[in-house]
Amino acid sequence: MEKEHNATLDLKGREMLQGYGEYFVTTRECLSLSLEGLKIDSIGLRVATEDHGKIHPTVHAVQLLYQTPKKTIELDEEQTKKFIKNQEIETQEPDGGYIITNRRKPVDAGQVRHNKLRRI
Amino acid sequence: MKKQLPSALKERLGGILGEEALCRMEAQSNAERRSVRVNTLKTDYEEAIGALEEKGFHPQRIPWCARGLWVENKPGLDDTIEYVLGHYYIQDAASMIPVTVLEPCEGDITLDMTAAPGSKTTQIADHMENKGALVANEYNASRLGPLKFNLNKYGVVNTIVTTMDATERWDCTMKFSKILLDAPCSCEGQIHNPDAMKQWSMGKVGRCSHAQKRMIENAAGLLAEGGTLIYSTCTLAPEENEEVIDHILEKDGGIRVEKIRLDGISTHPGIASWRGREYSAEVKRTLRINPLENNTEGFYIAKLSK
Repeated sequence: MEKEHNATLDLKGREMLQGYGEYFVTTRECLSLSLEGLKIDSIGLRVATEDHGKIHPTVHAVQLLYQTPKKTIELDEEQTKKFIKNQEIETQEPDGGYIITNRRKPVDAGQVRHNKLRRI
Repeated sequence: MKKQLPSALKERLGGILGEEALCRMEAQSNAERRSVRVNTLKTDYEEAIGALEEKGFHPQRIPWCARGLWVENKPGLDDTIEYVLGHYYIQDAASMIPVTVLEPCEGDITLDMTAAPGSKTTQIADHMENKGALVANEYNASRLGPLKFNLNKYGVVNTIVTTMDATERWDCTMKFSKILLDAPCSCEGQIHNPDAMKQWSMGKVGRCSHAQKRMIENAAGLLAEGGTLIYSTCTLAPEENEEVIDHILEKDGGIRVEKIRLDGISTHPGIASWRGREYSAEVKRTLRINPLENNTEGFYIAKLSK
């Protein structure tokens, strides 16, 4: 993920878990609890999914864990809302993967193809 | 707009609140202000104020909740980019109180026993600065989706989601330093909400009270020595409030009721008797918040310690 988006992933001392093609981040304290006798549904925040060997960050990972991404497209508020609703945005940026920012804060990951920016 | 309360409920509320207070409440229009809680896991408090100010919501601090803001009641609050990104949660100002009183912090192992849809769970995570461990429990399968959606949206990392029945004793060794039991209730405090009023019945009050007593027994058993348990509801029914606290005091000799201190809000002490039934004097330390008196829904909060 870091390499693809030219960004630093800051786990802030947390732990990454992997299972069934999904990745989660949680605290060490959550992992050290004695959970015997409890019916567990899930642990931590889902940060990525794996598809055919390729790892895709979730919107939550981008917003919370991505630090200073360099390959970005800045959108204004209306464009950001459209983008989040899976609508295409016109752009002059070259084809490739980007981190979408609003007010310079990471919002999600996007893909440009033929001058159209889409959500991944 | 005059509120249409079921006649049996109206009679009950007259007894609980007093006829004068009930008339005043019935005549009062619905809230002119709404409230939001800033999610500092994703944004800065001052930055959120600035963004809401820019959009004409005129945010003002809520005295009893460090991250709470009053905002103007106008359309669009759930359509801003800040809302979409989870920078604030639209939450009734009274419902912010239980977590404020619980005071969870990063060193705690905290349990939210009936967590969905997650307003208070995300508030707990914010207080804990996304550190430590927070068990968010929800037994109702249809409410699990909204809970997990909100935990993700608000960037909560320190959570284990469990699906235990809160009314049954849990066969686990773990003890919690902080527990929130915001119990499902008959919602008598939501007199501005016609849907809640339509679903009200005395049968529901009785069923809720029975389940709440089982839940609080379970919660008391899961509480660590020196720990804090907050019991709260959004109902005014003594059967679901003082009677539940009276029940746990009788059942568990290790439980005490603590005094609650809150700034800038009008509150009333727990009532000592209801329809011929006398409660333990300790229930007077619990708090009642009457609907619309503070521009909020009605609420009940008890702080218990072991």
